Amino acid sequence: MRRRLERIEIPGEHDARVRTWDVVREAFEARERVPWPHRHWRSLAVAAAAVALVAAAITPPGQSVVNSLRDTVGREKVVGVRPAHRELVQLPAPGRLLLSSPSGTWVVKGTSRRRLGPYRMPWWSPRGLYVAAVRNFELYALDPEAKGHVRWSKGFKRRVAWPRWSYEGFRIAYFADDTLRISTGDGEQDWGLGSADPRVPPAWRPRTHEVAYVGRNGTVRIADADRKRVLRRLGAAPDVARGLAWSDDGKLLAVIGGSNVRIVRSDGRSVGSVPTKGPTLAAAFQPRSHTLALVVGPTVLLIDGDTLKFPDRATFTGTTRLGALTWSPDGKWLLVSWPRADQLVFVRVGPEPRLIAVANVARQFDPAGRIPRFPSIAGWSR
Amino acid sequence: MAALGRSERARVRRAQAGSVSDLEALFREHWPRAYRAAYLVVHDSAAAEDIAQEAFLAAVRALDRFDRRRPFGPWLHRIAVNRAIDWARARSLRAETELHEVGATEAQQDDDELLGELAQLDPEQRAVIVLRYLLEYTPGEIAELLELPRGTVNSRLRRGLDRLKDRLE
Repeated sequence: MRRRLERIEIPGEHDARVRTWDVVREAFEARERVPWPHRHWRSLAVAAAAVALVAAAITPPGQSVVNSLRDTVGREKVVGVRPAHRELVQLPAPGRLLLSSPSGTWVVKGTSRRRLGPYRMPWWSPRGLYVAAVRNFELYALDPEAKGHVRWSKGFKRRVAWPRWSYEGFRIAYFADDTLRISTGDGEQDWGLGSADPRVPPAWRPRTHEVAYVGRNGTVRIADADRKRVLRRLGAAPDVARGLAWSDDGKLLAVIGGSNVRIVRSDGRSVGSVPTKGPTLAAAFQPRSHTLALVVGPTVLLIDGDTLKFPDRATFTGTTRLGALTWSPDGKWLLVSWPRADQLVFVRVGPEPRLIAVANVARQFDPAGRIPRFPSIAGWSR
Repeated sequence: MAALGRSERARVRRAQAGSVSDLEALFREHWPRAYRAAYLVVHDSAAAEDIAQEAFLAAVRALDRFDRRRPFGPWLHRIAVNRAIDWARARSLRAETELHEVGATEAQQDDDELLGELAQLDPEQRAVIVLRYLLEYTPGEIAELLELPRGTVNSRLRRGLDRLKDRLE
């Protein structure tokens, strides 16, 4: 039986092996090594617990123990931009900022910082009237101006994730486990589009009801949400897609891989693909422009989406890897998160560049956490 | 066998340290069987390629946390075969037929016949047969890999083999 099973000829086996090895090698070379403390966290945790017990017996417990644990798990803070504001008291550009932390969803507006509730994965509606968010098995539409009043909510048997509003607010795309689903903006109707990779949030093409998402096999698809039809499947990518971003005019789609960015036109034709020579962590098109802001390791770059031309100089460079980014609604400021430095960095782009940093971010948005965790940026709306 | 295990542990250790050549050695050793196992469960070469690729990418992602005391092969096979079962189940909900080439040799016809008969089994039965007879796991090991009771594995094996025998005789 074994010989017969081994003898069965599989068409294209050699080519499949070559293709797969290329992908695996690229992923291996682009992977971020887990620091030694993370790999050995069990033994370290036992040792740290023992040390903490002894320390608690002979020294004042509390903050020092917390700090030693924090150091042990490798989350020591690095020096960020100096000088930095001690607190986020005002945004440098008009609008409202949406953030998500373990303590819930937060909105920063003017000089106020307000927690909407214990929701996750928040996202602005197109004009910023509502926030879509999830909590375990429920999808919520919240009113940010009424202290997070729940406009409507829907319960599911499956875990929901990554709600995204369409351009005019009439549709919300979201995942229920690994199925991409569409809800009408009022929550009344709901239908499935197909199975998808739930790690990559769906992205609506502006001014349409077309939604881009990553299928279970890793291919990027663009589907008509109303007609429930896949319109285009993009060809094999050199890298596993980790994020999708449309330009404001809906003409360009950026497919962000681990160490590669690919730009595709809305009809599926490829503009090109470039290696980023480092881990690509986030990307977003500048409003009303084809300029793509890209976070590659510790660097923020602005590239031209039509030509994929890289700039001579980075827009901002930190000393360790950065996190997410978002544009201000007027397209003049970029907000970049820098978790290791516990900072949010605002960068004004254009002829008069400027840098504003805010420190102590984790404690501001996770005030009750024993070891406060850095928030993720969800968006900057009007 | 023990020497083989030691050399594999050494390869995993060096790959964890960043050695591409050791990762390639692990790939050369384990990809063909993971791919073949996936193919025999799903009967679709493109899907088998995706499944084996996903299994390896999952391995790369988790490499730094991998416990070197455990063998690499079963870990990879578990990911590949479980994904193949999921894929085959989903596929069975939407019937599709495949084109077969004509003009094959007698040996190829035999192999095609076996492949065709395997395709008639449930994905779960195919998986246990592939794990038992291609990858040569014991029923106890298969039970562990698929997180099934050992009795279930034995009954799937017996039923699968009976059906194959009936058809191939």
